[in-house]
Amino acid sequence: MVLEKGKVSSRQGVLLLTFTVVVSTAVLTVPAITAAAAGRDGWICTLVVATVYGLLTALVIIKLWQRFPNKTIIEYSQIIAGPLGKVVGAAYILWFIHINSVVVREFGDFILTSFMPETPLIAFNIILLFLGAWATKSGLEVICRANEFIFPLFTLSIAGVFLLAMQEADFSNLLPVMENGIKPILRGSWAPMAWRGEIIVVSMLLPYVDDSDNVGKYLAYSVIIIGIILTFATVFTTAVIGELTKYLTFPFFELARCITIGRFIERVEALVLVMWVAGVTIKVATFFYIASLGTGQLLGLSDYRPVVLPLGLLLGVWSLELFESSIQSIQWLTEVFSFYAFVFELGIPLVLLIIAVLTKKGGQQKSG
Amino acid sequence: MRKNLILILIIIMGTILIGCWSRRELDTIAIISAMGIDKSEEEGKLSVAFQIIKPSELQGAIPSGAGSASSKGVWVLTSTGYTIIDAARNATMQSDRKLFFPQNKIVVIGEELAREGITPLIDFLNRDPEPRRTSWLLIAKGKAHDIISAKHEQVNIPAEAIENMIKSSSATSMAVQVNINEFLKNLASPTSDPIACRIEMIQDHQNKNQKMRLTGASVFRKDKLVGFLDEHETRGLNWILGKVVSGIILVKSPKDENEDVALEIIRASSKIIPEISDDQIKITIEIKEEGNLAEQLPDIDLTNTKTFKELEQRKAQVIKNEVQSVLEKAQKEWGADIFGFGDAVHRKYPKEWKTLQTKWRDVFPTINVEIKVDARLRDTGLSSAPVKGR
Repeated sequence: MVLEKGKVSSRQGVLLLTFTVVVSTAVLTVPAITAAAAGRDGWICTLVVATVYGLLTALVIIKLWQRFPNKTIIEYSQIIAGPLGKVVGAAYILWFIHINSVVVREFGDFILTSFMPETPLIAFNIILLFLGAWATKSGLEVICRANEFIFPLFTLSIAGVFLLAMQEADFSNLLPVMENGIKPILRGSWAPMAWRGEIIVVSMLLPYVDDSDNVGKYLAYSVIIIGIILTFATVFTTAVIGELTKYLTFPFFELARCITIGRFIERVEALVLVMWVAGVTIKVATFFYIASLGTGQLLGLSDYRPVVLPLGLLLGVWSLELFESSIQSIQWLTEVFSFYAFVFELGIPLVLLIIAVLTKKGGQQKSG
Repeated sequence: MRKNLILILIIIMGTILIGCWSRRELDTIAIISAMGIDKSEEEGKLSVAFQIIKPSELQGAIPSGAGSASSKGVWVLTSTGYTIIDAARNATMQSDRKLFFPQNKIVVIGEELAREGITPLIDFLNRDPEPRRTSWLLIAKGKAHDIISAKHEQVNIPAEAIENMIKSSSATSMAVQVNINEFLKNLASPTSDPIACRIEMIQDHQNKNQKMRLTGASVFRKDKLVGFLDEHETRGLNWILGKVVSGIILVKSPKDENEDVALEIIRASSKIIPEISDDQIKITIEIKEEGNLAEQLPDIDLTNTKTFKELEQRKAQVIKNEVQSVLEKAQKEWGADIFGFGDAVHRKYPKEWKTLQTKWRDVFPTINVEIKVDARLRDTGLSSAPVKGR
């Protein structure tokens, strides 16, 4: 039973979509987390360690997909692990929903603290989820096409902040490199790793990509380009804000706020808001979509659309009740999220792949 | 059909009007252009002066001669409270509008308050989304209130005048340009001590008015004000930091010791080179300067190469003296590392730094600093020698 009848190209579904999904939230929060652990060496975390991890995750996803080219992770986990696979599938769906509610919460929290302090959180969450639900109902093709439209807006806002901040940057803030050895760098790497691993969303989308030859290439490109963008973000925040980075909640936002060129280019933080709203909308829609699709597949429904509304309600309530304050959400992102994400991004897929290889499951269709 | 239309309307209005939730109309806000913080007479309280722009006064008012001085484009509102935001909220009891910080350009802190530490004051500016971290941070020698309520002849909004004074101080390099962000960066650094701009009211002899003037820099140890640098010491600091842009150096004429020659600085740069040998830290400051002959008072021909060389040497000596004077004060008197020597050592000797870091306060005053100045003269300007009268 095919729940999604649409087809997307690998450029749309793999390269552009994963880029927006990962970068949209990472660019705002990751620099602070890496700076807290690794100080001025944060860029090594995002450039080297997280990229290696991301490529490894990509490799596992691709290997699994090559064994089951027409199946999503929810479906093939049932083939590989039998009845236990249903549990794995359910866990994945829960994880998608949980991550999504965290993203929705982050979205509201950021706008709340930095732009509109008097607006209740629920207002942002409802609007965002409404858009997410709409996109989900419209299907994968619509999400990907919307992303194609948003992508230039999104990247140009980020690039704009970098370019304008260039003048304020003092790159000697990055020295000395690796002062305290490798340990703080590894500790600071957990967060960028967890974000990079969010490319796992493609394991739900790959069956619907029509030019399968390019998938591996584009997924690797995506991981590397994300790495470069996030490295820029950490390098620039360190160069402009310096030691102060670890004291700030949203260093990238502060970066934009520091920009003054001449007398007229000032207050460009609206660019950050453009990037944030555009990117997070796509991210939420994507996670919403894969959670709905996964639920449909797990329960053997003939259409995933009926679960969109209940999932939306669940997401709304969860995002509001998840954390009591923004402090708690930052704490969760720093301390819990990375390890939690690791299990789902690399842990379970790797175990599935090993079992599949050992029991020689899958892969027959490909040769035939 | 009707039902659908209403539904669509609700959805569209819902998405679009959400953006108006925290809206603030222009006629409901009091735009602040500068704020000054002093100690209040009441124990433990702060007294904050807000310079609020009066839009009606600015309407079509082209500052022209006498007119601008009489009409004042701002209203100074003083309010007290235990913290800044407390004072700001208390101010609404006197103002018909709520204070609005994003346009704030100037933050002035009174000397007395600054000596007790300014971390608690800065926190609001770092935490709240409204005030901008690109606001200039000044320490008033005396009361901050006097600065905030001072008028300026050229512009209706005195805060703008202060901002322009800071920005154009690169013409003399005798003041520093420090905003909140810059200050916080140095404060967060484990070794560097921050600096801030210095401003004071000076007596104008001609018409007995008091005028604002930037008079150097203020030096902090951690977050506590420890002292002020005068204008030449400030340029000394700028030489070390490589922040000298332009300015005039006065030297005695080699041909006549009673006469001055003015040399203009065209460009300058500096390097701080630390060196550790036998546990002794030595820091070499290399300053490169290039300039030309700007003005000479005596009618002596200074254009031969020999006198040029002599002038170059004298200029180097002046620069050296300026640097020496600020080093003396910062190292011996205050023990405040405002030069970033700690960062320089940290970058070059990360291993040795681990033991040095904790005792940097004790080490800093004992550092041996060598100053190397390479000062050049390029040209004489448009005239080779002063016109002589017979």
